[in-house]
Amino acid sequence: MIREINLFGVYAAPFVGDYILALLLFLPLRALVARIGALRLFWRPVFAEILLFACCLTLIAFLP
Amino acid sequence: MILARLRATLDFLARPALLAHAARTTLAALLALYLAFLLQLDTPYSAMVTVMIVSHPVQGSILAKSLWRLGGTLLGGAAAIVLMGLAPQSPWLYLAGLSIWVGLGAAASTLLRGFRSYGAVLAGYTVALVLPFAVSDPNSIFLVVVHRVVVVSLGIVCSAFVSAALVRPTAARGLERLLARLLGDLVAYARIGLDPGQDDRLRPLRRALSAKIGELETAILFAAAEMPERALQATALREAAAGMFGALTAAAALTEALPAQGPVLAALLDETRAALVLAGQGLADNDLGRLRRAINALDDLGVRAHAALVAPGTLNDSAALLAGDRLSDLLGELVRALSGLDVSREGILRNAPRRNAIHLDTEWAVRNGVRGALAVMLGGALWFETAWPTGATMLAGLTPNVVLLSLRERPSSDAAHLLWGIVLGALLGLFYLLWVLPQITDFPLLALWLAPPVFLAAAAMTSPAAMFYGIGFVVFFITLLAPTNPMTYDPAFFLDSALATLVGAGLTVLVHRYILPVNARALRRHLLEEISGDLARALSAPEPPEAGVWETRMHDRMRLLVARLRAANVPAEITLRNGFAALRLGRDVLRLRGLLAGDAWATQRALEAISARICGRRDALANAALFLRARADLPDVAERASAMRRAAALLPAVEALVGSHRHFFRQALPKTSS
Repeated sequence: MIREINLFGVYAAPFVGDYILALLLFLPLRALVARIGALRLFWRPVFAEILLFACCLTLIAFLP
Repeated sequence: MILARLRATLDFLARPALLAHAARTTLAALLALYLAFLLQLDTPYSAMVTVMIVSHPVQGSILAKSLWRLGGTLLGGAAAIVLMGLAPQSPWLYLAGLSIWVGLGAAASTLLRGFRSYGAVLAGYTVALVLPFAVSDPNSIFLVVVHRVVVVSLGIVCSAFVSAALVRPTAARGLERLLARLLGDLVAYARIGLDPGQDDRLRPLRRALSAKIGELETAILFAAAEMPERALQATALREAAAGMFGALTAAAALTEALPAQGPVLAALLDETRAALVLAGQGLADNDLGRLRRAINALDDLGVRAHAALVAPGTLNDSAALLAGDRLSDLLGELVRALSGLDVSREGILRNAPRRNAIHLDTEWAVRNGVRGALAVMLGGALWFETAWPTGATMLAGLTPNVVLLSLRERPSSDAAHLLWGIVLGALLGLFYLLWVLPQITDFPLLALWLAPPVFLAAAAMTSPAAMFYGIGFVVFFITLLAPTNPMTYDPAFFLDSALATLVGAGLTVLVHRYILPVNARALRRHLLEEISGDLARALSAPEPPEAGVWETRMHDRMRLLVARLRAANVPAEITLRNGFAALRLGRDVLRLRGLLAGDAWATQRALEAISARICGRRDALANAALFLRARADLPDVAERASAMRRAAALLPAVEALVGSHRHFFRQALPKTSS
């Protein structure tokens, strides 16, 4: 069942929680990818980062 | 005359790269407006304004500024909710809270650097920006803030997307190119410094180089925003910049020390020259292998120079000691600086880098904070006392204008440009509202009509001469016209808002002219006083300041001084010479204190001698050198004898330096001379 997040009386969509979790997953992953120099392989590094974040978000959102 | 000025102001129209940037910005702005319409946001035009504000030809700048804009908006939004919650029924209390918050933001932004500074100032004035929408219904503040955050985020996403798709990430390459060019110049500079008595040739080069090292900081910032791996190297690159500054001073010290000759020193100098030629070729041909060989050679030479300093043959020749000391210093700094290119290409770190200290101008920060707070109080009082219905709009125009311009060199002239830009924007806005928009039926036609003014303003914002005309024009053209879907036509409201905005901008000019005005000359004098204060601390603090921190802070102050002198377009020769002299004397003092560490008596004697020389006692340093040499012969300090002799050899150089800048040092260190 979808449950809203109660932030001191303000109700936020469950997606906000997914988003924050995805961010927590994404940040170390991004640092790792940058450290091994993999971003340089892409035509547009920024797009590669966005897609990496999209993958993280999808993973979190569709986890049962 | 007027025609020539106009031509200079419109110079940006003849540069194709800037026009391409303006086209991209226009595209991003219209995309943001379209999406904001589609998402049925309350103030769709704010997304467009965000795009205009973060627009920049370099992608890294857009990303960095966007992030701080988002952070500042979130923080400011939270503050707006808290303030409104604390004082919903007491406007004066609210106003006091607002002015304190804006003042704190302005003060923090003065102390911070780069886009952090922008984030701080934005966190301050966002509270004033949301005020016109919440003032009639304080309970709606939460929703107003949420809408504000959403439109700002939308604007950021659109400009980041367009620039990521249409601009190559050039900042990293730009940084590398700048670094290579700088290092090439630095190597050439150091080669001149290897010959004796070249200070007159070095001086103009030094000035140009220190201005360019200042540009490096911005390039590092942009590149770090574009590529996370650059961010990892940013600290190392700043260390390289510190090395460059160090080499600038070290080469000047070496050329003065140099008539000394000896077989060891001559060989070292020749080899250094050869290594520098190799480094220069490596940099010119972009040959990293050759550059790395040169760096290793310089590193070895540094070790050998250091070994030569403690060799028994050198110890009795103070001229050779001094020259060797200077050479070893220069070599160390060159290796630090040249390793920067290595770091930027391959991620190699020779030693763990440390953070550079920066100049913190608390006095300026307090002035800016107090001015911001007073401006808010003044605007708010005007609004409350006149019971002006659009007073909140006036305050929302006044507050950001005052605090943003506080960080400029000449805020009152910038404020006047802004005012004229707003006048133009309001006139064009009125034309659009009355004649253009009523005939528009769909988005493509609206986009077609909005594109030309946005395009022109985006191009103008890249040129320093036209920047504030452009910002004032486009931001207030869009905000006053306030295109919404469906459009509401209310010419009376438009005129009220336009009048409020113009009064806000006019008050900004007055505030900057009469409330704690920024005096560019006083700012420079203050900077020079801080430099002198640092020098005094190096000379008289019981515990010597850490050399790296001391030097990097001094470099930062010099960088700011150079930038301010350039911005003000005033003759800078004497000020810069004095600044560099202070830097050199400080380095020598710290070096002396390092060499004499553990011998409190000798340290005190040497430092007192420097103070006495500054006060005019001509024989003080020569006596101190004799004292140190005699003390080095004593058996109980045998293990420190070589350091003591090196310290003694430094004193004649200090004598020469103080002698050639006597007036400056006497003014700079009044306590020591009393």
